[in-house]
Amino acid sequence: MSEHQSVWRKYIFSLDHKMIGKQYLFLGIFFLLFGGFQALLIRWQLAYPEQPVPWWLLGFLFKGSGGIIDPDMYNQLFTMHGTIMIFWAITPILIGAFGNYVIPLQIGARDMAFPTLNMLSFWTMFLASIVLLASYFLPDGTAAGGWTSYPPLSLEEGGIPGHGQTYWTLALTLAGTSTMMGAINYVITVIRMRAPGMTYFKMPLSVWGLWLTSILNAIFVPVIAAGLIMLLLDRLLGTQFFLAGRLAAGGGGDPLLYQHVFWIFGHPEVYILILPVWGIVSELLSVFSRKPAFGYKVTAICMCTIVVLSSIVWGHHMYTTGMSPLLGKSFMFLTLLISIPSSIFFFNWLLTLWKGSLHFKTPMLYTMAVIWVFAIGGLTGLYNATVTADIYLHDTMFVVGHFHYTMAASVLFGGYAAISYWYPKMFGRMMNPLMNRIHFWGTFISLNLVFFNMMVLGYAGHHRRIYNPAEYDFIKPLMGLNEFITYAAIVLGAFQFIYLFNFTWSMFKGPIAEKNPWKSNTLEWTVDYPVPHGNFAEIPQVYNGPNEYSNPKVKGQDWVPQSVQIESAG
Amino acid sequence: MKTMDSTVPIQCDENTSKLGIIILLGSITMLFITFLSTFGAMVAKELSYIKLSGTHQAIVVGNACLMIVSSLLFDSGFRQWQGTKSTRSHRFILSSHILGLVFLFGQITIWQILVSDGLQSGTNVLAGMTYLMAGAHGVHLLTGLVFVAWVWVQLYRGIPIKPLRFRLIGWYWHFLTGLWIILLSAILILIQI
Ligand code: HEM
Ligand SMILES: [Cu+2]
Repeated sequence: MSEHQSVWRKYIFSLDHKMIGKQYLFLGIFFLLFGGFQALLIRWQLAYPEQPVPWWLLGFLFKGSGGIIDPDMYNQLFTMHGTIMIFWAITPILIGAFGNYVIPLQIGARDMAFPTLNMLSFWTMFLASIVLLASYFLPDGTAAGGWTSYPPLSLEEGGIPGHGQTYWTLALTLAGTSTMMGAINYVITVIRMRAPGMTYFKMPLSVWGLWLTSILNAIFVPVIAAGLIMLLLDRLLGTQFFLAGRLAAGGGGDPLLYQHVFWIFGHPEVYILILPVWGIVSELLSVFSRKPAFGYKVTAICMCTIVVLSSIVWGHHMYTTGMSPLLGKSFMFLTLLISIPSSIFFFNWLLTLWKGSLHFKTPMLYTMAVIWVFAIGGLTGLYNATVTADIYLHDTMFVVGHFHYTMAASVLFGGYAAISYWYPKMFGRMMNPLMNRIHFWGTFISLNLVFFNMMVLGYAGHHRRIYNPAEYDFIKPLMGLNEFITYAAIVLGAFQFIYLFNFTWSMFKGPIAEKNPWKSNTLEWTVDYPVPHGNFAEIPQVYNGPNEYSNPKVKGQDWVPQSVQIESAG
Repeated sequence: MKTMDSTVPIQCDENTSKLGIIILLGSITMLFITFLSTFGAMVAKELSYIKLSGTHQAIVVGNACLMIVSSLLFDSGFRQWQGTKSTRSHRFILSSHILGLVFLFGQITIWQILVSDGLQSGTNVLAGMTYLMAGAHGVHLLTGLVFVAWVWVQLYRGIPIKPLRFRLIGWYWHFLTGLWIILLSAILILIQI
C-alpha cells in the first residue's frame, strides 16, 4: 500500500496515526531526558547547596555564575522540570504516542477520525516545543514561577522579569491547543469508528483510559487556556486581573482567582495523566495473568466516576489560602469520596492477579510496579486531602513525594510497560528482556528510595521549592537524607540509559517479533508488522470482549482474538 | 475530512464531522464559561464596578441584534440553497457576512467609547474581563467571517459546496451569535448586582 508515498509524507507530515504516534514518542523521550537532567541539577543543589556543579552534570553550563546554580537558575530549573515532565514528556508519551498508536488499532479502525487534524496536532506541539526551548536562550532565562505559575510571582510586578514567563505562557497555550486537537480526535474516533461488534464494554480498558483522558482534556484544557490568556494580558497589556494590593496601582483583581482557574484544570489534569496508565495496567494485568480482568465493567465505571469527581475537588490544593472552613471540609469530603472508586478498581487489579497464571514478562514487571507505586501515591493523597493534616503538609516535600509517586512513578512505569508491550508491533522487533529486567530492578529500587524519602523530608518539615535547605536550622539534620536522595536519583538516572540503549539497539538488532508475541486478544495483534497505512485489510468483526483468556470453551490455547468467534476457535 | 492518501478509505461520515464540530464548540464554550465565571467571581468579590448609562446599554444591545439578524440571514440563505438551489442565496450569505463585519466594528467602537468614558481595562478588572470576552469572541468571529466569506465566494461563482460544510459553517455562525447573546446578558445582569 502506498509505496509511492514521498519520504516527506511518510515520515514528516504523515497522516498515519501510527507514524504520528512514533513522532510523539520520540518527542516525549527527548523531553523526558531533558527534564530528567534538570531534575538531577535540582537534586545537586538540594544536596550540595551552592557548590560547583560537577562536570558530569555539565558544570560548564554554569560558568557565568561561578560554577554554581544561583537562586534564579534554581527557580528556573524546578519550573521547567515540572512543566516539561508534565506537558512535554508524560502527555506526549502516554497520550500522544500511545493514544495515537493504540486507539485505532484496538478499536479496529483504519485511522483517527480526522487524520489531518492529527498531524496538525503533532506539529503544533512541535512548535510549542520550539517556543519552550527558545526561552532557554533569553537573557533573563526561562520561566521561574513553578509549573503552577501563580501570580503575582509569575507577573512582572514584583515577580519575574524578562520574557521567559511570557514564552512559557505561549508555549503552554500552543501545547494546550495541540492537546485539544488530539483530544477531540480521540473522543470522536472512539465514539464513531469502532469496528462492528466493538461495543463500549468490549473495548480494551486501555482504550477506556485513553478515551476518558481525552474527554477530560477536551473539557478542561480550555479552562487553563482562559487562565493563561488572562495571565498573558496581565504581563503584556497592563490588565490587573491577578494583581492586588500595593502591586495593583489603583485597580486590582485577585491572585486567588488564578489559583482556582489553575486547579479547576489542574486536578483533572493529574487524572488526565494517570487515566491512560490505569487503563493500560488494567489491560496488561489481564494479559499477563492469563485471565479476564476482574470486574471489567466495574473498573470502567469506576474510571468514569473518577472522571466526574475529579472535576469538583480542586479546592484541596488551596486549603491554606484562607478558604472558609465549610468550603475546605466540603472539598475534603469530595476528595475523600474519590478513594471509593479508586479502591474498587485497585482491588480489581489485585483480584485479576489472584489465582492467575502470572507470566512475569517485562511489561508485566513494569505493570506490577505501577500497582506498588500507585498504592503509596494514592494513600498519601488521603493525608493531603485531610485539611488538618494538609495545613502542615502543604508546600512541603511530602506533597512532592506524593505527586511523584502518583504521577511521575506511576506514569513512568506505565510508560515503560506500554513501550515494552507494544514495541514488537511498533518496531517489529523484541526488546532485550534481560536488559529490561536489569533496568526494572535498578529503577524500582532507586525510584522508591528517591520518592519515599522525599515524603520523610516533608514530614520533618522540609519545604518544597527552597533554594538552600541548609540555611534552615531545622533542616540541617536532614541534609544527610538530602544527599542520600541525590545519590539514589543519580542511580535512577543512570539506569534509564539501559532502557534507552535497549530501546535504540533493539530497533536494529532485536530478534524479529512474531505477530502476537504476548498471545493477546486485542485487535492490534491480528495484523502483521509493518502495519500498513489503513491498518486492516478488512475491518474486523468483533465477537468477544478483550480479556477472554483461559476461556474453557476455547480448546488448545488460552487466548482468543476479539475477532474470532469463541465457538469456532481452536 | 479525507486523507491525502486515497488508498486508505476512512470510515468518516457526516455524523462524525457533526460530532467533531459539537465537541469543538463545547470546548470553546468551556473557555468562555471560565471567563464568565471569573467575571462572576470578581463581581461577587466587589473588586470593581461598572455603571452603564441607558444610551450605552442601548448601543450594546443594538449591536448584538445585528448578530442575530446576521444569523437569521445565513439561515435563510442556507435554506434557499438547500431547497430550490436558488441562485439568490449568495446575496443572503453576503448580507450575513456584512452584518457580521458591522457587528465586529460595532464592538470595537463600543470598546473605544467605553474606554474614553473612563472604563479602563487596567484599573477596572470587570471592564478588562468584558473587553477580554468581547475580544475572544471577536477572534472567533473573525475565523467565522473567513468561513462565511468562503461560502459566499463558492455560491457566487457557482462552485458546488458540500451541503455538510455549508451546514457546519452555519452551526459555527449561529453558535457565535448565541454565545455573544449569553455573554452579554450575563454581563448586563451581573453588573446590576
Ligand atoms: C488517589 C487519591 C488522591 C488524592 C486524595 C490526592 C490528594 C491530593 C491533595 C490534597 C494534594 C494537595 C496537597 C498540597 O498541596 O498540600 C495533592 C497534590 C498533588 N497531587 Fe494528588 N491526590 C490523589 C491522587 C493523585 C494522582 C493520581 C495524581 C497524578 C497522577 C496526583 C497528582 C498530584 C499533584 C501533581 C499534586 C501537587 C501539585 C502541586 O502542588 O504542584 N494526585 N493531591
Ligand atoms: Cu488534586
